[in-house]
Amino acid sequence: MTSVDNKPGSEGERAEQQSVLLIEGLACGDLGTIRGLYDGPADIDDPFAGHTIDGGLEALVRAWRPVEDARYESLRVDGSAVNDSMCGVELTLFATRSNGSELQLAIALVGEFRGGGLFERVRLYYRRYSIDGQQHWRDRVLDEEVEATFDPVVARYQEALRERDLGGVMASFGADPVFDGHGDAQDLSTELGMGRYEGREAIEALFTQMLGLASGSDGRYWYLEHVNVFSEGKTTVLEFNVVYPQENRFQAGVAFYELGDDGLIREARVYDEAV
Amino acid sequence: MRSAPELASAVVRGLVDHNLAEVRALFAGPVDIDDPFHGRQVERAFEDLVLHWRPMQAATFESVEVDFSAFASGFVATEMRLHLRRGGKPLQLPVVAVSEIGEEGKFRRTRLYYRRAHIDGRQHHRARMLEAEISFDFHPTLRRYQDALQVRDLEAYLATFAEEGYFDGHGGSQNLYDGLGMGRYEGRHGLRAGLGQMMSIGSKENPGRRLEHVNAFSDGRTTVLEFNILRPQEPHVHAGVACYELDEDGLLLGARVYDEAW
Repeated sequence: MTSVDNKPGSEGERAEQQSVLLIEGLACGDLGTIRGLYDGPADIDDPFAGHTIDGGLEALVRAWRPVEDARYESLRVDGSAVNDSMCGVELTLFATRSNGSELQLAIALVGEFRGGGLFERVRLYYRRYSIDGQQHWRDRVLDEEVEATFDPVVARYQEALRERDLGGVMASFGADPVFDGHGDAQDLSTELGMGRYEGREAIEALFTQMLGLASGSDGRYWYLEHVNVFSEGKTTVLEFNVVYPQENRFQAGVAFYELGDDGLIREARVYDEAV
Repeated sequence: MRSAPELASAVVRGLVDHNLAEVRALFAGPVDIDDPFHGRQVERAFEDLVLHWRPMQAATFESVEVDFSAFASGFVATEMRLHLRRGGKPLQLPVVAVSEIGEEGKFRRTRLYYRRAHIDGRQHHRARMLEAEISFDFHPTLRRYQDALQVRDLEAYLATFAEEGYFDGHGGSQNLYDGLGMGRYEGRHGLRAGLGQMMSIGSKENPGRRLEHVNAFSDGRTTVLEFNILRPQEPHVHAGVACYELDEDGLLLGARVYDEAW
């Protein structure tokens, strides 16, 4: 602990005066004063405005973290679902890291359209672990829970997930299904994120493990909060938050549910950072 | 007109190529991208914050008054009252600015705390701003205070306060059932009534509630604690800050709390 140091001319007094200037600057709309208070880009977290950083968009574009240490090679479109006001597009970014290793980054982009076929808002989903080797929490991107109207099969799948009903989950999948969580694990206890599971047997093993965890037997109960849903008929896109109530933690993500000709789920492709 | 996959690819290519003009051209209005690493970035959001700060909507600025300030360990927390006039009536908004100090004493990052209900009359949740939980070596009185708060031991809690001690939650009522936030409670009698009610309601409605400590510093007299209130029954957190001021006997003279939880 340091002692009180707000004597005239002290660092403490200067810091206090800067705090007053900050509030006065906000109250009077004085950009120059506020910028002058910071040693770099002004960075303010405000209850109404949220976290704002001066030049934050420029920093995002000019130093996008996934290619900070990598050379871009190519971009592949893996799938898309589009309606009048929304699109969900699945992409794979191929790059070469500075150490020569290959980077394949699965990205889901959800875009809201305005008139003229241009975007109004874009949400990107990818697993940061693929870039920096660290597990992250993605806090809520969308706050409001929605009452979604799903295709009946996807509705049954969601209901079964909520009820921890393994039979109900499996009844939603077709004969030769795929579940891709875009993580690295086949065994969830390794905490590397759900990988790719092909066929009913592999998917049943996944959900046996996942729903066991979800039941809270290991103290890690979770449920899904639906925050945006749209469909183009064959593919339903669901933006969600995985809620871990005991920890009050969240993992925002998006899922693409693609139906086969039999009307059952052929592929479930999920992009989140849960482990 | 480009298809959605073409537009989506163009956004990612714009990010890969660091081409701001290309990204801008894909949006009908201000660019608005939510990225896992960078968070939500909206073009001109910072300018909008400064030029149209929400507390100033339909209000005129009169003055800022500093109530308390604590500076230590590379942080400053300044408790202020912003005096405004709205609809011809005076409005006082308690505000705390917690800033990380960078080079040459300038700020690096600031977190503002105030109760939005004072401005728009609505109850809000404040999401996490700081992710990592910390462990802080509190003054023994404040350690007892935190422990008593956690287990809802009212007597142990009251024992940490000086006779003339107070708790100020900067809300609008002394009765939590009014739904206007925690007000100011003075002296043992006032503290027993106010904090007793808080603990009683909390025991029934949020038995698993706990505080997640995410930043703390102390200048010896005042300890500043940034926290998140975790209530497992609610799918939200409540970020806030508390300033605990000790008297010369090492007892709590004032617990000044700024959050939006009640």
